[in-house]
Amino acid sequence: MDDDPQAIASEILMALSMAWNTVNLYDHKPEDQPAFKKSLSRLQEQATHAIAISVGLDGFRVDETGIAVGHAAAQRLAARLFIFNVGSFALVRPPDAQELLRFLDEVGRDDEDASIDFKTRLESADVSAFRVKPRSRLVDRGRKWNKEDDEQVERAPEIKALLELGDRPRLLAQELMAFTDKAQAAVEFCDRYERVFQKVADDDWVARDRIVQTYVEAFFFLPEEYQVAVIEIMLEQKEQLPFAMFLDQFASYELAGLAHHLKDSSLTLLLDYARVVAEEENRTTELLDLMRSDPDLEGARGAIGIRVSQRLREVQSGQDGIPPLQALKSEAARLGDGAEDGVTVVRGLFQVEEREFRTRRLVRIWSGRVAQAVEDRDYLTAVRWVEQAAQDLDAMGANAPIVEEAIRNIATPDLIETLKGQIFGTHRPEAQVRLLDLFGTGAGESLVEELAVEQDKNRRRALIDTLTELTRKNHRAVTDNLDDPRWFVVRNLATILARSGNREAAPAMISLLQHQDDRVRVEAVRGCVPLLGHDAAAPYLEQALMDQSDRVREAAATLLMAVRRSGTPQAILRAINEGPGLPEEKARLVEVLARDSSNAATDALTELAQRKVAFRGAARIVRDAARKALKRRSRLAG
Amino acid sequence: MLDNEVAQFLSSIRRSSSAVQLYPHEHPLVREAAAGAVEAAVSLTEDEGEVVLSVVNDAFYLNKRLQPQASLEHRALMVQFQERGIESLTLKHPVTEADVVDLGEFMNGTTGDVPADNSISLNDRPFTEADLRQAANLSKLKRSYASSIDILRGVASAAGEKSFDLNPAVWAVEELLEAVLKEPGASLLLATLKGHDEYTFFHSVNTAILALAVGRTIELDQERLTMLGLGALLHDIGKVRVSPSVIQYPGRLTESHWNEIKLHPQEGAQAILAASGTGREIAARVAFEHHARFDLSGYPQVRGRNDLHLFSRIVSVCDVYDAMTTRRSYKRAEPPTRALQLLLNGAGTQFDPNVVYAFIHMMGIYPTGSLLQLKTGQIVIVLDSGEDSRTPIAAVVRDSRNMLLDEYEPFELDPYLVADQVLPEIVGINPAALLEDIHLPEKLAS
Repeated sequence: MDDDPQAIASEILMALSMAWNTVNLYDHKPEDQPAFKKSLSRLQEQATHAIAISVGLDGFRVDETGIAVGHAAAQRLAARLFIFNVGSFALVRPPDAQELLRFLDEVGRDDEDASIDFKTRLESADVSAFRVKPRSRLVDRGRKWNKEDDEQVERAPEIKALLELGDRPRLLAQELMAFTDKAQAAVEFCDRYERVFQKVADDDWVARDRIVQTYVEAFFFLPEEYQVAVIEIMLEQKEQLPFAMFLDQFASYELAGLAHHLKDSSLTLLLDYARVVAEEENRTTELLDLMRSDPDLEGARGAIGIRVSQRLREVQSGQDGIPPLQALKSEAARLGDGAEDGVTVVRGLFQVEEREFRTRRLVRIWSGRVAQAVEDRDYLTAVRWVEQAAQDLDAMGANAPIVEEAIRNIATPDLIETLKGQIFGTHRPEAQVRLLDLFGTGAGESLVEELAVEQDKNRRRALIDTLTELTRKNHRAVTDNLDDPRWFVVRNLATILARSGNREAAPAMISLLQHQDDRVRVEAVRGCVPLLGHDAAAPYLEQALMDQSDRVREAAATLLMAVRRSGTPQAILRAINEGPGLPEEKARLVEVLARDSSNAATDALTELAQRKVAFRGAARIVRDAARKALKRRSRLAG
Repeated sequence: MLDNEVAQFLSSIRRSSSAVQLYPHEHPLVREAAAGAVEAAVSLTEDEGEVVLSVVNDAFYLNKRLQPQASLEHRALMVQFQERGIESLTLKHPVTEADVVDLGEFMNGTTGDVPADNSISLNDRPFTEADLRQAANLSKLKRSYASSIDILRGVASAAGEKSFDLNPAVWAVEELLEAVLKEPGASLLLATLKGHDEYTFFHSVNTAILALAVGRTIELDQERLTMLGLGALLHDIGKVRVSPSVIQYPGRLTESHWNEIKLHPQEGAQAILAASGTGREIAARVAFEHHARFDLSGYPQVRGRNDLHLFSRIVSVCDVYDAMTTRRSYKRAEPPTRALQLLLNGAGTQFDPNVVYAFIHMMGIYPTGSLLQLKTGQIVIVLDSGEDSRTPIAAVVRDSRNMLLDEYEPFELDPYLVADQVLPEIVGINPAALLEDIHLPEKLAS
């Protein structure tokens, strides 16, 4: 067995936390729960060591070393013991189940007996396995100030000075009366009081009492109108400890005497205070009775209903001049079908959830909803659920990677298969496509693979349509697969890229102009125009005139009939003069020039027409074609 | 007030049963709890010498008289009786402490021994179940309320560990809705019921009733009312995942406690999402947003949130109203009108001012069930709040000599006669318990 005190303490605290948690979870016979039995046996094993475990508000310590306990209940346990003023405790003998239950019951008690010293309570409850030592506190509220105790306390200089100055209340009042404005003086009084009060440690009751008494005494040195102003501020903040303690010092008749001078709102607050006091332990209903029996205060007491009516009338005018009920009825009529509510919650939860195990559970709930919606063919709902999760990744902080992973994971092959199955036979599968898009490149890859093996023409068309739709928003689904070794796959992808019109895919299309298979290059030449636009595509088409493949050159030539720039005639001329190809093909290039009415094209044609050539041969065919083109042009011009 | 005395007896029996489960018989806490039960038993038996407390048809009866308040407030104890096969307790004067202790042990299953002194005998009823059924039944309204509490208890116990079925909660809301539409006044009076042992469940049912009443005021259709009610009924369901010691902590919460409490909207939303089918996610949204203030400064804080759902804003107001008017271990209750004033103070910041207006418009300045002290010294209960600017209708429950009255005569209340508002605990009157005894004005009852 490990004799390390920290390890033993950790073991004890773990067992206690587990047991406490079990007791809190199971109202009926918690001792029969396996977790409780296990905790009990661990405590029984560790009981021989009698290690003193110190209690702090935030946890436990042994020999000034914090004890790490891997159970969430441990901190609550520490807080409870701290509240009960337990300084340290030790497990001095093995408890039995009933004794442990009694101990935990005392720890969890919230009733009036909780105010009794915890050690005494354990004795009354016949708990002796746990020995507790109270936390040393200087003085309790009811005890006399013990100078010996008091000297051990470290205090702020301001507090020390305040405690030592005997005539401070009178001086304080004189300082405040220097303010000619009573409201300003009252604010200063309350500010100073609160500031000083807050500088005192929570358990330094001596200083706290002295401060409260000093300020109460100072209060009575103030003229009545100043007193009223102070009390009004105190009442407004009566829920806060410093002000509650201040008000508690007054005799009922003193407050009742001031009641006549208070403004309406303060009088209401004083009535509230009187009601609270009437309900508290060891307090009387004297103040409430005094206020109730005072005929001068009668109007103010009953007036709350009137004040509510008045304020209600103010609200009645509504926002933007629309009466409240009408505004709400209109809003109710505009309420949607509720489809957004679930996704709104999920998005919020993904943002605020800081516990990974809860986030992972949420992910499971969320992915279940998506899968269910797909199964129900309710694609719009599925899209909503995925979209909302994917939308605010930046706001999700540490949860973002979990959510991203979840989105990837939800695109299981089965789900993708279901979606793909839905694409065939659906007239406009927009929601399905959007969903595939949200699932990212994984879905794209799967579709590409399907396209590669699909034999049926109609299904191939559906797949190409789907991939085209996907590529419109995100080309990665396609461009990530351009290195596929199968030429026909790449050719189809080039077609899809071209149809998508997604200009972000242009660099990928340009790269395909260098593809080893000319059938791909043909598609790339065709794809350049929609992706790059006429002006930017022309140089690539001109370049393609020099390609070794006649298919590529032909495709480029055809396109150059419509797509051209100023340098195009020169490029064609160069292709005729230097490029590969049969005379008939070059004559076709002359045709391209002939369709160009620019001067540069005319110049190029003229140059070809004036060329001296042999009786037969390629050059002659070109020259004749050029002359014919010029003649036609001249005829048309005439 | 017999109903009240039965309720007190049942409370003391429950305390005694809990004490005896934890402590030996001679322990002061056991003795104290048993003495309390004996004292409560004395007040029940001293006149007749012997009384029979029965559980039949989901209600408590004293002899042959239905005990509506006890039947609602002590649902958990009733379930415990039913689980242990206790159909009736015959209490014979004087009931002994030893028998109370024996009964406690029998109830919690520590032993199978019945009380030995014979001052309490079990299942020894001199009349049949049919006699009781003929006598009186719990009203449909209270039955709906009680079944909602039972359903919430079931939902909470399932939601604590696994996912739960939302259908029973929907059925409960449908029943409550029927009651609110048929008996709006009586429903609001019943919504003043406070269950201190199962605070969250009673609070949730009250919030649902109040929210349905607001929904009715703004003319929501039946389907939307049901969803609003569902959201209200389940708004606090996340609290089942917060440690009870934190939820019931009687003092100022530490930061870590507070952080734990603040998780309940997200816990609730997640539990409802896991359970709900399509179309019911609004309940999750209400649970998630009911602590987000109108100015969006509440919790949990969600970036990019522009507004809150209408139902969340309605439930937020109803939730706070019911909480404010309930006495808790760590805070006093506010009288209803004072609670309305606090709602108005928060209009525009914490609450949607339009919803606050609709709520007060529906509740009236002096809400149904309010107890008011008049300048004459009498204490009256408000029976009809005077919605739509009608004059409130009230009945005197304590006369100017501080005597409790048995018969109640409704009259139109002049608001200027109101001297003060009083809390039920101080006057010793439970407004909801008067439901059977007071003839509600016709316009409310119909």
